[in-house]
Amino acid sequence: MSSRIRLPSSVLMALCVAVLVLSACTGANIGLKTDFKSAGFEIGRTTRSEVIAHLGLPQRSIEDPDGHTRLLYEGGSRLTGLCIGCGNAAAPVGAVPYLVNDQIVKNGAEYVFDKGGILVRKTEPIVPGR
Amino acid sequence: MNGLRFVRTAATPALASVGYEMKSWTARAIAAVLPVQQTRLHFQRGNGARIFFLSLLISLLAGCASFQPPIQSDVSTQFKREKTAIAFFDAIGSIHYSEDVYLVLAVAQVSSDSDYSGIWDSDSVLTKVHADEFSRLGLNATAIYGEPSIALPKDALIPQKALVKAFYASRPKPEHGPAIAPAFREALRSRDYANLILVSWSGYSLHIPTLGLPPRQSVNSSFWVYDLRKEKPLWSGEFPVMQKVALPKNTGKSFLEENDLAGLKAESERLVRERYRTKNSEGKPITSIGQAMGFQPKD
Repeated sequence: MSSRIRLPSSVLMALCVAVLVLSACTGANIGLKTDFKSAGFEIGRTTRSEVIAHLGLPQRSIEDPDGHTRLLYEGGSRLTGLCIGCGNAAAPVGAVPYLVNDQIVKNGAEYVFDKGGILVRKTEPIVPGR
Repeated sequence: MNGLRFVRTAATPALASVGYEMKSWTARAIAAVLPVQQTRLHFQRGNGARIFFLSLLISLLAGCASFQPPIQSDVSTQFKREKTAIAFFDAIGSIHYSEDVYLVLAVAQVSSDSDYSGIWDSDSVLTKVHADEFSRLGLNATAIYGEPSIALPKDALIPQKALVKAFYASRPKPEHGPAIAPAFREALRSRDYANLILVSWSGYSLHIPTLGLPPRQSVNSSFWVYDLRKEKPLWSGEFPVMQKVALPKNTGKSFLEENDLAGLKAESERLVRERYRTKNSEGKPITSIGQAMGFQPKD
């Protein structure tokens, strides 16, 4: 009597998919932090270094002519490629990303610092980031 | 293996002039085009299409990898005697992260940039790294930052950085590289600098593939060598580096940005310095920056 266990092909397929999904989930990622509200940055107290230490580098940093610095954080990573079934992740994505990426920008935050690096103004999403 | 042997023995002079790195993946590509048993080319009926595509592939790869001829030896000797200024201008000022996201029936790629301008002075740090490497090659090289003897005014630096940024933003790019700002050239000439090696890069990139494949980091440094007295470009070339990298902290941002960008600073310097070596991190021979420019003998 053979000791080999024969699994139905559908079960095998499901197992393969599960393994692939798990291996994808456990890998490294970019690691954007978007918990803007929970950080509790305080106007007049929080410094630029503290914001960067908590959220990482901003997606854009702008020096205003008046000496203020603005750090712009997006609410997620941008969709730059999508391919169904072909495996080429860098394929152009057509009209989809405009909708996705627009939402990402709207869910972002902006922090403004004075010349001394103290937070003087902030704009955070009403709905907390993911 | 046969494919590799084919490239080593029967490649065109153009391929023979490129580095081993290029050869090894060229070999794999060629092996994919030609079955292994046919690596000794026989001009038989039916091979025509394969030979055509092989020729096309070789031409393309040789075009990608070739450097300009090295600077003439009498000129390169002058670089060891005369003063040469080394200037790195970061035209990008941000890290580019990209990540493949596995969606079972589809793969998406997402990306995010992290702007370090005003937070990390990459111009100064990487200028010193390049100046150090050129000094090791025997050049009379001085970094334009941090050396009291050179101390260029901002009025000279700002327009030159703007020209480098404009070069990277332009499509198509000017053949002879970024223009040299008159104020920048005059400031160097007034300090008796005969030559300039201008360096920039297309930024530091970290790509995280899906399905457990290792992340890869890359930089692509560009060099333009100028004779400041004759106001003419002498040499230019690009040196891309791509390496696998382990992310012990599991996210790209924490790996590079924690502890005051410690990871970014260390990895950038390591990747930049590696292209000055004659062997890559895996021990494979490569054409170093010094060899390509003519400042270092070929092995």
